[in-house]
Amino acid sequence: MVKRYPFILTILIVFNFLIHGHAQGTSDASATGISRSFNPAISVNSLFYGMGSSKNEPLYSQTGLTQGLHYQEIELTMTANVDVYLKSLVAVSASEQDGIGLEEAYITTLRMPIPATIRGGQMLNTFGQHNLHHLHHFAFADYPLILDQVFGPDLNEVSVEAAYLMPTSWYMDAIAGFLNGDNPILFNSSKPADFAYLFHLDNLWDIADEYTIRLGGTFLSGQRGLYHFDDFSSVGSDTSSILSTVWGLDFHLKWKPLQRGRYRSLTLQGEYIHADLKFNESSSGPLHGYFIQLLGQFNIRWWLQCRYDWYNQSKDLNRFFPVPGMASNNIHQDLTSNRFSFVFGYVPTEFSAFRLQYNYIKVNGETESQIIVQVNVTIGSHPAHKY
Amino acid sequence: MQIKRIKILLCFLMVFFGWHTIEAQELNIVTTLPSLASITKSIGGEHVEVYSITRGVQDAHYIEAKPSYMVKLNRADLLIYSGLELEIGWLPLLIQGARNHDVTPGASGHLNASLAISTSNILEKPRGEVDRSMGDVHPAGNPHYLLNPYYGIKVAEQITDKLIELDPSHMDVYDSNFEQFRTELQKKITEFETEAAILKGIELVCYHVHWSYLLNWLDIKAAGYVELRPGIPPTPRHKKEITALMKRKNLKIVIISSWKDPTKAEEVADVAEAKLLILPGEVNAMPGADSYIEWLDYMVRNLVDVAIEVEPETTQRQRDRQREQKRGTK
Repeated sequence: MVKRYPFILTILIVFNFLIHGHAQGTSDASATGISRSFNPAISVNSLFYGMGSSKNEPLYSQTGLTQGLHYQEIELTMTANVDVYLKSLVAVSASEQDGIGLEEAYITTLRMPIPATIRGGQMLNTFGQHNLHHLHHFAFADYPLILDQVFGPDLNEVSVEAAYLMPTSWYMDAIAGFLNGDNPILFNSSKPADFAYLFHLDNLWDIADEYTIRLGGTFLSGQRGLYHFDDFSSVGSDTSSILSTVWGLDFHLKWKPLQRGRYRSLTLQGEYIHADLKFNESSSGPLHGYFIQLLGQFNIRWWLQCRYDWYNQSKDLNRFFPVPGMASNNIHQDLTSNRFSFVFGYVPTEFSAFRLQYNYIKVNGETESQIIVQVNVTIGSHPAHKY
Repeated sequence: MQIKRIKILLCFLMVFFGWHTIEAQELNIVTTLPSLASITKSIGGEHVEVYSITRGVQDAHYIEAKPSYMVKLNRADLLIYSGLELEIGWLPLLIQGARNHDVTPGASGHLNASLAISTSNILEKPRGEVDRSMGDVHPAGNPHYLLNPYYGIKVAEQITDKLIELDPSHMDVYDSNFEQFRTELQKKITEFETEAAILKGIELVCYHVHWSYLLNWLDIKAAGYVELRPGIPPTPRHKKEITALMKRKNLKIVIISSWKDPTKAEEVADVAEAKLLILPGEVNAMPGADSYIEWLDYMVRNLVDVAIEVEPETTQRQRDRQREQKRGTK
């Protein structure tokens, strides 16, 4: 705990600077008292699904989707400006798999002397674009395989991120993050002072009025615990740690006509992630993969979408990242998994959506077909989603 | 050698961090609507550089918060927006992403144009409870107030005051430009009202609750809407109901904004043997609507032309009544 002090102290210094940099002379007294006018915007999003599979035990169930009818997630989001200087968002979610938990709770600066913002708290970190989305904002009912396998499935840490809008003629956002390093797959070091560091560069160009292209890159590095093991059934952690590095590339190409842009659009997007993980001096290996998806809106309410997922992990990682349902004889060979997904979506309004999704999954020669029906509804005042 | 490096580093830092604070000769203004941009250009003239986030052909309700707009806002001295929650789905994201506190709410470079209109003049402000089963209802009222030219003058006056506040050195120019704008628009209003007098009392059907300020100004009544609820396309049953209403009341005109897909409105107009009139939803939405005044002119002229074509008896009666009134006055 003592070793956490530098981290906590850093956060305090940063926010102390922010507040006192702008708010010298303010008193402790409340000038507003109790008023409903200042209540936060509150929304609840509910995701329900039903799934049928060609296998009794799903070949790949890291995402938590299982056969039968389920509620996938209920998410309560509250957001408001705290004062002149800060904005806050709190999102609490409940799911059958994980129970009730804090999804995000962070503050963002509203005023800085330079074109920058600082976010601090528990949040979805800026690794690529997809990791920033909440489950109800996904284009598909499930996570991309590579995010699921590397982050399990989100990179969602107590952290501080600073974003600076670069003085370029196009949109270029440079983000540096300081993470607690708690992700169980990437950084589960037993040393409390082992942090992780993130750098992200996001670029967007309007190549024409109706077309945008976005290119981004992320680098993430942190310490993970060294493991000792005698056989596959017995793995323990040591107190020493070793560096894990993950990098990723993301892109999108988007077409949205100016005239009646609410009726038609087409988006091609994808992300590639490469994780270089070490477990001890002799055991390491890459885990890498990508997803690419095409999202087509052909009417005001109708969507057709497809996605291809692929990832590969070294056989040395199989004991640490086993895939549920993976045959025991596969554990001694590199694991390659791919998935084709197709979605037919009906979106009556921006507050409700119905999806019919088909997945064809292949893991080292074994295959599975899945049919998923998902219902997505939002009530209340939900903050607008990012581009 | 070390001093040289420090100098280079200082130059780099000055360029890097000072980029955003380099003062331009002109005021850099971002508006959310082309109509606001047009009015601002008329007042600011050569002393302002104006960029409108939405184009005339775009429906301002459904714009995506593209990061490239954040870059525009980042370098802006002034943001002028419609307000009444027209831009609620995207403008807050842009303001936050722009990281320019000059244009944040409460700052001098943040102008909500709807504040120029008194609350009592805001149309269709819901009186009771509002919920989403009512469709895309604006809890703050209808935000398309610039369809009434009298409110255009009020907004122009408000923009003039703001430009003088931010750039007092050109106060005389802004005042003079405003007077010129007001005189020209006032003259056109007289012409519009004379020309559109034959429309008084006419009833028509709108596709969407959009035109209320225009209809209210010209004393035209919207007898019904093709949409089931604001923003919700009609069901087959609703289409039958609206066509039955049109036949019963002999309504001959359906108007729709150029932003909307006209298919459903065409079907209704065909069945009811009425004329579908597509009007520009904003400045620059259609050829011939290239400025705020031209936009108003386009709408009035086309409404009059269509009314004469499809309702010759009603418009003739109005003409006769006008003549009689003129004689009575003499």
